[in-house]
Amino acid sequence: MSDVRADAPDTTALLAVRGLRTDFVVEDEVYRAVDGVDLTIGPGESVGLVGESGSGKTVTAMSILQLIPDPPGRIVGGSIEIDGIDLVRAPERVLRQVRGGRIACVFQDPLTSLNPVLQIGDQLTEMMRAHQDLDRRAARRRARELLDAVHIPQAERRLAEYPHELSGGMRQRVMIAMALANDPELLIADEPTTALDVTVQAEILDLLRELRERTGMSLLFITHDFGVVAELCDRVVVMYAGKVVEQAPVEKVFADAAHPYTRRLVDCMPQLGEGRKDLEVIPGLPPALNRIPDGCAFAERCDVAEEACRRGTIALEGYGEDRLVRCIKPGARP
Amino acid sequence: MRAYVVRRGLQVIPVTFGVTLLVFAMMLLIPGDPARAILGSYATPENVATLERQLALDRPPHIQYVTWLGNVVTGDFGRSYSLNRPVLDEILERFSATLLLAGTALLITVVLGLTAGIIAAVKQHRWQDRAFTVGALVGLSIPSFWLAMIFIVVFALGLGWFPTSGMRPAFGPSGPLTVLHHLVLPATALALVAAGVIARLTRSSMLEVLRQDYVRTATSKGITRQSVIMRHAFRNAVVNVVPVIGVQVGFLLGGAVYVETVFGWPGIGRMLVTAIGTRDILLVQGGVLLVAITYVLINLAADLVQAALDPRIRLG
Repeated sequence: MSDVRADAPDTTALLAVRGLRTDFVVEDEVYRAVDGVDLTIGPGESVGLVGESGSGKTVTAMSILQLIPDPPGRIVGGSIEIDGIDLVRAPERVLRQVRGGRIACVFQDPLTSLNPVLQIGDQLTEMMRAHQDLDRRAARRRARELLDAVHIPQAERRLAEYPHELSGGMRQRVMIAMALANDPELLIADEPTTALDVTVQAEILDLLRELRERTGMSLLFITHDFGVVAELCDRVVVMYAGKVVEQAPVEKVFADAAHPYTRRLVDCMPQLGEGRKDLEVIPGLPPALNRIPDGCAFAERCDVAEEACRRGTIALEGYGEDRLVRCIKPGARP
Repeated sequence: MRAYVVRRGLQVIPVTFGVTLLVFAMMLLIPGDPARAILGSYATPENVATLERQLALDRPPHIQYVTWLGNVVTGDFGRSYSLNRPVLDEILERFSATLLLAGTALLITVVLGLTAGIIAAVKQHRWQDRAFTVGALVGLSIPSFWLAMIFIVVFALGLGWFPTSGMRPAFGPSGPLTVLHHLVLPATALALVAAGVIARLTRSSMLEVLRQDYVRTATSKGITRQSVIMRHAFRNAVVNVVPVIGVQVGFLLGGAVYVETVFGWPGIGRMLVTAIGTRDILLVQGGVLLVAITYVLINLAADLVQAALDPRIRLG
């Protein structure tokens, strides 16, 4: 029931999300957090999933590994395929092999994402031993190698430490090391730098780029920061109110965003060397997810909206040779 | 960890000292004249005065306290006049019976409370959750002495499954089955209230922990649901439950007074009830002191277990 055509050639896709719909039901109100999202990620490809808070980007990413707490969340439609296995319908056992094995996650806040009462080493080896036949010592040795690989000094000593004994950046490195433990084909990184200091953010991004070059894994990078996308991603998927509104190669989005929302988001990026200019903002708020209006959900805040934007359903359509846009006036400027 | 153990261990000293003071003051404050109680209502004032002098009851309270404390520290709890034997012998014997009862009740409390709490949290809003929540509430609301009487009526007199009263020592001549047979009803009656408290706390603590990011991380690792719940969620949730288990021990020891009385269990609770009636001051003081120190030590143990479970506490 998706109104979207597939973009990249599916046969080569590592992961193909089709028509994904995820609802949250709170006090009998249905909030459609993700509404018919299509998303493919090729082998070795780096995709940025961008949008404001509440746009559905995190819910989309968490739906892939079925990490949405149920209740209140529930995937109500669509499929998520990896090698012909539909993760939405896969039995728990199959899902477990994919989780942490073929697809691994790094989350937003490394302090709350690591178990406070378990040593770093135990948390790392647990990840390995869930997927590989390793004895305790081999797992321990591999854990030390992983900490070396993410540039944590004194790896041996760190293995016996607890998360609260590490700095924020160090904790996120541990999370990344853990995610890499089973050489995943896809790494899902959900705003992995948002909770960190600016200087540490840059270090973590460098690390992710380095690891990606070394391992060749695919990356789904969730962020609201276009600057990060420019540095790290090949392709951008922009979400608004639970729907994909634009999908394009990174350089095209910066040169000439097709959807007005994407254009405004790109404008919000502070530019180095532009002097003391007021930061751009997009006035207004996204619609409530239980009261999504007809037509384009962004129309209320759009600077080129017209009457036709507020009617019917607006489809995600091809734009140029390698882009998709959900807008009846793509590329319009005020 | 070592620093924490020392720091926490040292706190026991002033607390214990305070306990001895309270135990002593308590007996001074309750009405009734021990010498008169011993001699009966027909004793002459001269006889009463003589006995008071013999028992050192005519001295000022602080002198009495220091003398008593000095003796207690050296292991001399005095002699029970009503039983005509050393207080220490009597309270140790009675206390072993209470330990058997309260220890078994504690085991039931912990196993039942934790299990029910975990299941209720994992099955939140399902029938298991409702059943355990109602069960815990009922358990909490029923006084243990009343439950004890109902148990006797139903399971001992009605169904005849268990004896109505009495006890067999754990290491006595009767086999473990006979010991257990006598234990089931009083231990369960004693445990249910505490189990209700532990179950409710475990449930809420688990619900809190299950929402945490690290539980999502654990799930994303591809480990089994059981590992996620026990190794990641419960391991964190139990940190909050352990100190309350320590507090519940106090409740079990206190509740033992009623349950022992109802079941005719020869424990320290029933001994205290009798000793208070006969104004056997030294026996009461020795018994209460032993129970109180046990409580202090159990809570020390609970705090140390908690610190062992959560590295962040050791720092504090």
